[in-house]
Amino acid sequence: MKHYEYEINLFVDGELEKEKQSELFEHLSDCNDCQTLFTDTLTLKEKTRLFCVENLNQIKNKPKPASKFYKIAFYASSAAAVLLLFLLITAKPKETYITKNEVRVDTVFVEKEKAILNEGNKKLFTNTKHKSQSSNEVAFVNEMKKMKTTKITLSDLIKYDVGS
Amino acid sequence: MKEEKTVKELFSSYSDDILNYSMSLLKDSDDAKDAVQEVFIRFINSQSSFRGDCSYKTWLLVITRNYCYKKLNGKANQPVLIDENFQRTYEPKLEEKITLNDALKKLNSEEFELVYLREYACHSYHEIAEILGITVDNVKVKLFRVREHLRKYLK
Ligand SMILES: [Zn+2]
Repeated sequence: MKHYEYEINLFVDGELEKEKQSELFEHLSDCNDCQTLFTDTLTLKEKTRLFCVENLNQIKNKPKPASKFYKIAFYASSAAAVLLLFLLITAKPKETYITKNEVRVDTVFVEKEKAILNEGNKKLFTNTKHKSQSSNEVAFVNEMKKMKTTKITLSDLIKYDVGS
Repeated sequence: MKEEKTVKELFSSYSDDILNYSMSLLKDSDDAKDAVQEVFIRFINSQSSFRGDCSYKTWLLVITRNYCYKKLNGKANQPVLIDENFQRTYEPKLEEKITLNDALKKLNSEEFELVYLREYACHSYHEIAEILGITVDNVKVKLFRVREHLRKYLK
C-alpha cells in the first residue's frame, strides 16, 4: 500500500493541491501509520517553532560586552572623576568649578550623540516615496559608490540627509 | 503590479521580520540590528532596480539574506545547493538519547534556515523558494527530508 508521507508534509503546510486532499483524507481514514505520521508532523512543526522562538530569545538576551564607545566613555569619565576628586581635595574652588564644567560637557556630548542617532533613524525612515529619490539620496548613493565599502555609518546618512 | 509604499511603511511592516531573520542567520542581536539598517540602506539604494516581480517583503528578505551571508562568509551568497542524497554526519544511536532540540541544534545552517523560514516566519513554499533562490520543488523535497530526519527524535 502506498503511504502518504510526502502529501502529509505538504498538507500541514497548506501546500497540497485541493484535488489531492480528498485522496489523502481517504487514505488517512484507514491507515494508522499515516494517522500517526500526521499527528507527529504537526507536533514536530510546533516543537520546531518553539525551538526557533527560544533560539531567538537566547540570542536577544545574550549578555553583551560593553561597546568600545561606552568603554572609552567609561574610562574617560572614571579618569575625570579621579581628577575631580583630586582637585576637590587639593585645588582652589575656581579650578574645581572648571573641572566640574568639563565633566558636564562630557555628559552633554554623550546625550547629543544619542540625539544624533535618533535623529538619523527618524530621517532615514520618514516620507521617502519610491522612485522619487531626492537629490540628497542621489548624492548619498553616489558617495557610497565612491567609498567602495559596505560599511555605511549613521553619520553618512545624516551628512547626506537620506530619507528627508 | 507594483504597489507604492513609503520606506516608513515598509519599515514598520517588515523591520521585525528582517530583524528576526538576520538574528537567525547571524546569531547576534547587535549584528542583526545593524543588518536592519543596512538592509534599508541597500533597499533605498536599489529601489530603481526593483521590478515588482516579487513582493516588497520577499525582496527585503532577499536583501537581508545577501547581506547576512556576505557578513558571515565575506562573499555573496550562493543559492542553496541541492543535494538530493545528502549524507548526515551523525545518525541516531539507539543507546544514545538525543532530544529533538539537540537534533535541531545540529542542523546545518541551510537546514535551519529552511526550518526557520517555514515554521517560525511562516512563509509559503513560493516565498521560501524566492528567498533562497531555489525552485518550489526543491523546497518541498528539502523540507520533507529535514522533517523526516527530525521526526526520529520526536519520541
Ligand atoms: Zn499510510
